[in-house]
Amino acid sequence: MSSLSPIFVEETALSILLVLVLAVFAVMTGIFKYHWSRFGIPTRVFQNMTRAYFWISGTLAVLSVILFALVLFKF
Amino acid sequence: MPPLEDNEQILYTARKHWFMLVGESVFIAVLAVLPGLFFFAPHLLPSEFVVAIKGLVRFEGSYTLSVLLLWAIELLILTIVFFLFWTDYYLDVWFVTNQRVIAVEQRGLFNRNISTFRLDMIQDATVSVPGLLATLIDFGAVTVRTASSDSFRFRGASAPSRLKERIMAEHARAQAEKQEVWVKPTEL
Repeated sequence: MSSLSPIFVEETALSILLVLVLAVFAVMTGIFKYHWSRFGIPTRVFQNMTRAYFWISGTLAVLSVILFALVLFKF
Repeated sequence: MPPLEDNEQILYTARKHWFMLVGESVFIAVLAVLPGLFFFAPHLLPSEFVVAIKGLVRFEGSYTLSVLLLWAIELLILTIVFFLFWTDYYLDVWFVTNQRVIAVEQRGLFNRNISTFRLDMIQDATVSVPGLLATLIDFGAVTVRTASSDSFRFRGASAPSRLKERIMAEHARAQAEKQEVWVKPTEL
């Protein structure tokens, strides 16, 4: 049975991953904002859900940056 | 939201059943909790799986912080994917107005199809409920055929019978209004 070579999780790999994910997040947030403002339906559920997206994803993005800074500090 | 005509009012709004969204979101939920189970309750997972992952991934520096960072990144990606599914789910909608039916079909973010057909042009409407689960939680497909022999189908509609009844009731009203003869009183 062939064994897979291990993946090393270290500073450079994490920084590249984080930059890529934040770029995707910025692009998708722009797309969602445009799409929802143009094609959205003015219901309370729709407004609450779109607000929830910005809160949840924004919090996770900030949390990722904070955790990355902590990882760098501990390295 | 498609623009309405003068004196047009929305009488009924039909959406997809919540089960359509839940069915798509189960995989996201499993992926979201899996890293938490792996690092905080590994005894709940098969031991072979845990050993294989630990052999495959090597951490340099703080193990806990790196894991939490990877989990936060994963949750961010899953949030984006969930809201893609939700947009597709929530913007698939049929509006029954006092003049026509507006069928909005969202396929992804930039593929959107809006069809309208007038109530008096409807020939018939069919409901199909595909199985026991659909019967129990009340979802199914509604197909409407128009006089121009086009057919419009709403898959996974919530309360499909109610949607069909509403469409047919409004169709009957529109037909009756069309056949009414208004006699204008002549002035002597």
